[in-house]
Formats: sequence, C-alpha cells, structure tokens
Amino acid sequence: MRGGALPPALLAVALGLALAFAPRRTLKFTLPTFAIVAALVSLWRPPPAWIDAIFLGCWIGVIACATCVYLPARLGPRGAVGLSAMAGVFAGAVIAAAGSPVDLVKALPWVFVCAPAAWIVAHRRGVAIKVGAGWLAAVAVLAATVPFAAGTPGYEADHMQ
Amino acid sequence: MISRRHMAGALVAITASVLGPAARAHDFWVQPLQFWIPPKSAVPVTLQVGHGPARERWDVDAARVTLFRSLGPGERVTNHRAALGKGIMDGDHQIVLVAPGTHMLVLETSHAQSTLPGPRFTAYLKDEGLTPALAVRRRDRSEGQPGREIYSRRAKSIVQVGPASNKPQPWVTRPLGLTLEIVPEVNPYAVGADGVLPVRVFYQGKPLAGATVKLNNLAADARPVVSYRTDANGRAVFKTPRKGAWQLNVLWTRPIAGNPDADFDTTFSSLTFGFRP
Repeated sequence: MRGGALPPALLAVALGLALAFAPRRTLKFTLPTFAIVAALVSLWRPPPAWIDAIFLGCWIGVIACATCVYLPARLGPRGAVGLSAMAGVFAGAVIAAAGSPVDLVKALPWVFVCAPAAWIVAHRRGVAIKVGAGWLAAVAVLAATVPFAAGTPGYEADHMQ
Repeated sequence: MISRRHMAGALVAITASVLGPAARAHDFWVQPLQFWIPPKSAVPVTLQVGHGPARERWDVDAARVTLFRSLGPGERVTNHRAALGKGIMDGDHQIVLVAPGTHMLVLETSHAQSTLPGPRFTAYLKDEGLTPALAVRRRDRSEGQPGREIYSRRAKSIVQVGPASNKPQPWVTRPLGLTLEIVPEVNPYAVGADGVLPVRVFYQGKPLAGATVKLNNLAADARPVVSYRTDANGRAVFKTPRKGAWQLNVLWTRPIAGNPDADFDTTFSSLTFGFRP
C-alpha cells in the first residue's frame, strides 16, 4: 500500500486508540502536536530513494501506537506527546513522499477516533479497543514486510516491457 | 446491530485494501538528459519505464523498437533507430540534433503481453480510466477473471535546440499518425509563464474523448501532479510548468478477438518536455 490517505489515516487511528488510554487532559497537547508536526513534515521533499524507508517507518509507527494499548501502566503525558510527535513525523513523511495535501486533510481527522475509544474504555469495554489495535498492528506488520518479500504475487511490477 | 459476520467482512475488506498492490500501470517515456541543448550537439537519451520506486531503465531488446526518429525545423525527419544499437537497451543513447529550433523525438514499439489477476486488472482499468475494457468485463460478468492484454508503447519528447522562438513549428502541434498520441496545441517552450498548455489526444487518428491524461513531475513521479479526462474533442488543458522535467501520459485499450493470449490491445502514450533548472 503506497500513497494516498490510507497509510497516514491508519497511523492516525492507531494513535487515537493509544490516546484513548492516556489521561484526557493530555489531548489538548497531543492532538495539536500530531497535526502540526504532520503538516510541517508534509512540506518536506524527501529524496525518491527514501520512499521505502519512509513507509517502513509509517508501519512501525502504527505498530508502536497500537501496542501501547497493551501497556500495563497508562500512557503518561510525556509518552503521549512523544507518541503523537512520532506519529506526526511519519504521517507527514508519507504524505511528502507519495501523497497530497488533500490526503493529509483526509487522514488527520481519524485521530479523533480517540473520543469514542476513550468512552468505550471508560465503560470498561477496553478489550474491544485492544482487539482493534491488535488487528491494526497485524495489518501494519504485513504491510511492512510483504513488499520486501521477494517475488510476492501481486507486488511484482507489471507492464514493464 | 452489526453482526460478527459483517464485522469480519469489513475487516477483511479493509485489510485487502491496505495490503493490495498498487493498481497504477507503468508509464514509458523518452528521457533526454537535457531538454534544452546547443545546436549541433548530442544529447544522451534513455528510455524509462515505471514510476516512483518502480521506475527503471527500459531493459528490453532493441528489436522491440519499431520506430525512433525526430522531426525538426523544415519538417526534416532524422532516423535515430541505429543509435539504440542491438541487444538490451538499458544504456544512454547519443542523439545528435543539428538545426536550431524545436525537435520532436518519436518512438514506437511492438507488442508485449501481460496477464494480471482479475481484481488487480480491474483496479488498473479503473485507475487508468480504460472504460472500454471495464464495460466489456462488466457486460460479460468477467471482472474476476484474469486480465489478458497485449500492449505497446508510443512516446514523444520535445527537445529545444538553441533558444526558443515563437515561429510556428507545426511538427510539434499536429498529430504525427501514431496509434495513440498526445498532441500539444501550442509549443510548450513558446508559452509564457503561467500560460496554459492545451493538449489533444488522438486514437487511431480521431480525437479521443474520456481518456485520462496524467501530468507527472519526473523528479517525483510516485503520483501524478494532476490528471484530467479529455472532453468530447479529445482536449485536456494543463497549466504550463516552468521548470523541471515533465511527462504527460495516457492509455487506451480496445477489445480484440482471435488472439489466444489476449482479450484487449492497449496502447501507452507519453509526451515529455522540460525546462532549464
């Protein structure tokens, strides 16, 4: 999966799920951090050779955010801001590498999934969020590794003759 | 209430969309090292295919090229086929352009064959706006079947020798008789800053309506900068870039019968041009 709004949107969803387990007061710092960092990084023009590394970083970011919901202790304010900044960097980078400003506008609002997710966590149904986060992490692992698997059907370039 | 079955189906669909391969077909173009050169000089030219991380030199046998020539001032035609040599063509090819003015390099290839899994073929048809094939597959309810096609390339590139001028250079702005071609209605090198670049797309000699024409920045071609569908007269209008190297690209296809290996005959066509840094 390369390009478009989907990779940064999945990163935003994973961050939103992680923030659902953070103290609510941190949202006034974390959400602007994510949006501002993503917008600034999206202005960067990365070398074309970096595109594989950037997408790999994006999927690692999804995995990092998704696995935070399994932490035994709640995510603290510093951890939440750091996670948001990291997610912003990679969301902006994939937009810079293979997206457009419109894709950024489509992707960023998905972080607001943190609101219903926090409500679910508050009503002691956090296991549902953990299941969703686990699925996101699994998708990210596959998305990160499949393109590097030699000869994967469907990933070989077509119409090259 | 959403059932578990619906939930599972949604997750599978989203997973497939995330992991699904890129549907975009692979463009082909003629890439001069410089688009503006002094008179009587040689310019290294490469043939390129792909886009973004899948971009590479076109490493196929030179026998696939059926025509490679240039049209220049005075309607002079120069055959550059010999410059491609023999064997695999992944190197630089020295093209000598003598007369001052705008030169149009033109290249045609023979057919290659492609078979793609059904969903991937359908995604490629949608992405490239290949409505004739989509309609046939929808009518025949064969959208899940593998997509079998033969395809060939047409590529043009505009090289300016010496300074640009406003003199009419009709070999740049008229169709050259290619199966599928992008024809600029004005010489891009004669258009002022922030001017418009109207182009027309011709297929088998007639204006082609409903084709998707994409403008790619060759310095960052993972995704097109902009794309338009041609109107009833085969026309699409772009804003003229003023720096960098650019590619306009279009595909069209038609159903064919009697070929044991293919159901469609697709043509890729490109037009490249560039400006001084």
